[in-house]
Amino acid sequence: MLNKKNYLSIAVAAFLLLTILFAVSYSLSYKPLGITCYLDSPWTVNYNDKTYTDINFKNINDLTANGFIKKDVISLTTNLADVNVDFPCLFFTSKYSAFIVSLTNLKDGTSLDIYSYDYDRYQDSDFVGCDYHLINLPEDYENYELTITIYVNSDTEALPISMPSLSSYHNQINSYINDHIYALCIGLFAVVFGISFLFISLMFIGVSKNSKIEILTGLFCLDIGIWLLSYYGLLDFFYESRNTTFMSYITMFLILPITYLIIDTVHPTKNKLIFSAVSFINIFIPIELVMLHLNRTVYFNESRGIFFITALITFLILTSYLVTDIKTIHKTRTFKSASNRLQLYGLFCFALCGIIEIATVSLHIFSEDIILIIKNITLPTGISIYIGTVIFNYIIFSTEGLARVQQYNKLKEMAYVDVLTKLPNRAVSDYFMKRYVNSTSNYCIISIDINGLKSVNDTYGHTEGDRLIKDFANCLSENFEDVGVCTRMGGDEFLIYIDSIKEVDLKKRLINLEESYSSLDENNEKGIRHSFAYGYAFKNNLENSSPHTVYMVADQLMYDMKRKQHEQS
Amino acid sequence: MNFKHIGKYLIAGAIIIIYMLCIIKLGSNKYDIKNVFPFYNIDSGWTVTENGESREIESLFKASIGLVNKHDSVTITTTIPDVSEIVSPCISFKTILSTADVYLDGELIYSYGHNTEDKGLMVNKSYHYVPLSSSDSGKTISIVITGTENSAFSSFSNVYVGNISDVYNKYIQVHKIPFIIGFFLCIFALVLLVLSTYLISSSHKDYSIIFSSIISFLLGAYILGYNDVIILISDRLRLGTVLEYITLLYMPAAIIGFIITDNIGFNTVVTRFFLAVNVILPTIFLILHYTNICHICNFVSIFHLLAMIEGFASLCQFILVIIRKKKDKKKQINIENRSFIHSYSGDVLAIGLMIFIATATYEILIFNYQKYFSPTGDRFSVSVLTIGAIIFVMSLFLNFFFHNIDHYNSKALFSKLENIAYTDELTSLANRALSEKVLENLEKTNANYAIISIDLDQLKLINDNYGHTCGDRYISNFARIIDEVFINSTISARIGGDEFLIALKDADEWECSSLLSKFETALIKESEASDEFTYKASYGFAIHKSKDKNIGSHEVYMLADKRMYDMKQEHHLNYDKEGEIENA
Repeated sequence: MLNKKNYLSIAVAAFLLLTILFAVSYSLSYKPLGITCYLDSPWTVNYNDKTYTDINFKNINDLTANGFIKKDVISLTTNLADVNVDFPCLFFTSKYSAFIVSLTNLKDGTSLDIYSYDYDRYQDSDFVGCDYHLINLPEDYENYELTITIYVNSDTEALPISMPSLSSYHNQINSYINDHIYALCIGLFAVVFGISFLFISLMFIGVSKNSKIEILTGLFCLDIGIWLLSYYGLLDFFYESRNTTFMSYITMFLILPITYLIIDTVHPTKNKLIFSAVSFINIFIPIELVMLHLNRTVYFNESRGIFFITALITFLILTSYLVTDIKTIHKTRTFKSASNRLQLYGLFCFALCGIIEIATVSLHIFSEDIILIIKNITLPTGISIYIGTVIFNYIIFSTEGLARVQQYNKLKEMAYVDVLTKLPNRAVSDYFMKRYVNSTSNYCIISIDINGLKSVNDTYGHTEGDRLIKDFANCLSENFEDVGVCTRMGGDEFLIYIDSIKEVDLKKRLINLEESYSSLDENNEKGIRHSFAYGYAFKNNLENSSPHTVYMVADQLMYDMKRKQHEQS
Repeated sequence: MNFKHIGKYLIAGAIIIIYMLCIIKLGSNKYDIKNVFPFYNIDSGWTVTENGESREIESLFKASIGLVNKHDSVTITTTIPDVSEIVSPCISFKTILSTADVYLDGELIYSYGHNTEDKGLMVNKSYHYVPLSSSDSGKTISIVITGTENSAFSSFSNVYVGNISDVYNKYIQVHKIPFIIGFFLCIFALVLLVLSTYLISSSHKDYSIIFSSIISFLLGAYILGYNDVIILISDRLRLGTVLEYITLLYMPAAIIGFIITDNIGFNTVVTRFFLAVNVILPTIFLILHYTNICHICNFVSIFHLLAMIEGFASLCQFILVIIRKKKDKKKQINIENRSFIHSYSGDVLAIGLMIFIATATYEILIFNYQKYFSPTGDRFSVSVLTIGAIIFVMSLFLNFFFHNIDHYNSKALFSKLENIAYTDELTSLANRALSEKVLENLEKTNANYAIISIDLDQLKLINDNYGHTCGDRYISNFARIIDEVFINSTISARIGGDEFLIALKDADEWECSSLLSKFETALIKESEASDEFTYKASYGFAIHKSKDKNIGSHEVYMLADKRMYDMKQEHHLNYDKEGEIENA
């Protein structure tokens, strides 16, 4: 499938892709106006009733040996410097903890809660998710002391909130969008593509043979799109929801069963043991984890590890399928297998990116900055590769399909058209016989046999014989094409089907046919005689009016004429 | 059209409608982000001052101010509602092609656009967020909007007072659907473009996919530009403003390009002329814009007119093509409908294009009506064009999808048809076409092979005396015998009424003779078993050796045929002697 030309086109494609990505990121970029102030120090920390002063934000983690545990209360206080921007706004992200932000007036000591996140859920011992927070500050904020009180809801090694930054509202929100523009674009694309693809496959549920895979693919794209958007906190952009984290986990868990179904449809395994084991893992474990979460027994962020292990197992199975496929690539070079292989490749790329993402986040190998870059790029790239292969799959194999349709039309022609004379062939004649069974019109069938074909073939060869037939077919068309269908039954037999014609008219045409055909005698050097025998019958002239009877009568009349002609010659 | 088709179209139509309803539902404000603080959309209580005359108006939305031209000023004044509860309050509004100055109790607190105007550049479309303080409740605020182009605007945008987050969210919420769909179309265009490089380099040169990608991109960028998405999330105000014009101007060219390359019969002189016009004119407009001679916003009316003319002309052409196709179809035999699946790809494209043109026309008409005739302002409803655009691009995608379906179906039928095309219907042996193919192949590979030519004796007699049905039976039985005896042949074919050809690769004289004597034995056996016929045939064979490179398969066949003919002559003499064939 791949040759030099294709490599060139892939290079061009890659170049185009990079250029356009660069142009897009340029056109959607945002340069912050004014200052962004990161509040790194000095902070006063009150942790479980112990107070520490002048702490750098980065060092807050060092205050505990084993990280923070559920029900810890951490209170962070700092002063706010005047950054002289319109619409001052505080920004930070939080993970699995509730918090309340309050401002204390430096002059009179009054306190005001300006923002609270999921405090009600914390008090109910419910699940608290992750989110980003934009907190508007009053214009005289420099007169206040900022206090963030964190209520830890889940055991964690690091402080549940990121370092807050202070800037204008537009800077904060547009920078956030800008940082995640890649994920936003791909996520939106996946969602719309998934929905559209799903609808399209539903429309063709009876027609296309691959409906199951198509519907699964649509669902999968929709699922990973929503996952991507909620994972990066971009869903809040469009829809009011207090459950984005929940949604991100559900969609992530759903990936497993859908992936498994796709793999199984594309590459069914004959090994019953593996089949049962894998389907159990892929379907029941996610359901079980969701149940545990809803039951408030084990929350998603705690059961993540089990999910990752399950995902890893499925990934290994997928890899093994691919490896065996590549090994047997020379044996089974069928069309369908190429399409299926492409699907698996796409899934594999996506899964690989997923694994990289999980590994990066969980294993803490790299530094914060690199983690951030990897986090922002891997998943969207994996998803776009997957969707790319889906579209590629359908477009590539459809253009090959176009070629086949053309071949198929050609063959269709051959199936219904007599190659030599270009008249309709016996299959068409059979069609008319069937069609006339219930006909009420006074149809007419004419049976015609060319005389002397065999002797011409034997004496002068097949070429002359063919010419004889062709000439007759032409005369026949000229005289009958406008009223009926002329078919060649084979050899020297022809049948004409006419829906309705007056007998007088028919006789005239037959005489014309005779004259025009026998006139070919004149120019014939070899002295071949052009003549034919015919017989015709009308439906209404017979009692038992089945087309077969009509045909038999016409045929018999034709033989009678032939015998008479023999006797005369 | 028969009822099966109508049923399918109805179902498809129902699904499209459900799809559209889903999109509309997703975009409805039921799921909007709720406001945290008090939020005001100030519609009443405004005083409008135009040309020195002030008047109080009931509704800002419905205020009729006529067309504001270059250097015309309109001032709107009101009092600020209670903002004491709001953190980071602001007053926000949108202007197009105008400068804006905001006065709070007579003092200028915000100004926009004068620098750009002084430089002679087109002033961008912009959202203004004017910061207020919580203590500003009850103060008088005046907004002076001065046009910088002719026909700059004829109505006011909504004026919001509230918390900056709430205001910003409000803008995003009303543009949710265009946001999502606009991005989708742009990325989809990118994907198609990347794939097109592969497709064009492969055997099937289908350039229409490039145009599909361009159309998708232009539509997506237009939707993003027109719906202010770009100016809301980035600081590229100039791009955000000009983009909607540029994309709009080049869209007809892309659509025409697609129609030409998609080979539905539109590659005419008229179409190509329109294509040229639609590429050259916008380029001229662009040059005029960037050299600041005449800004691009002034060309919109010309464009609308041109688009309507071309749309109408295309529609006429389209209908003519359809009528012509229907006429051609009537001439053809209609048996195709019975066994072969109707290819929907052309219909899908036509429907998508129709819907798109309908929504585009609707948008053009509404836009001009709102600008020139109606007093009402920006209506934040789901843009019809957005939905039309996504349906159109989906139909482009479906076009390919259908080709894929055709492929899968044709694959199944292909093998069946191949059989039909290469099989003799009566005997189920191969037919002449296939035998020629096989012989050609043998000749090309210069193999060792033998050709046997067999001719049935007395077929004509049987047909004449006992009718064709008997004759057919005679032929079928013969064919069966041939099939059984020559079971290992490269091909056993019926190449004429009573003529058979058998090709045997790597056979020598001994093998041929042995097979033919087996054949004779089988014929005798069959004749004894049958109470109808005596089976007799004449045959001859010829061998081709690899060393005879210059001898073609046809010559070999002729030799075999001649030998067969010699035998036939012998038989004729014998029959004449016997008189009539035996018949029980």
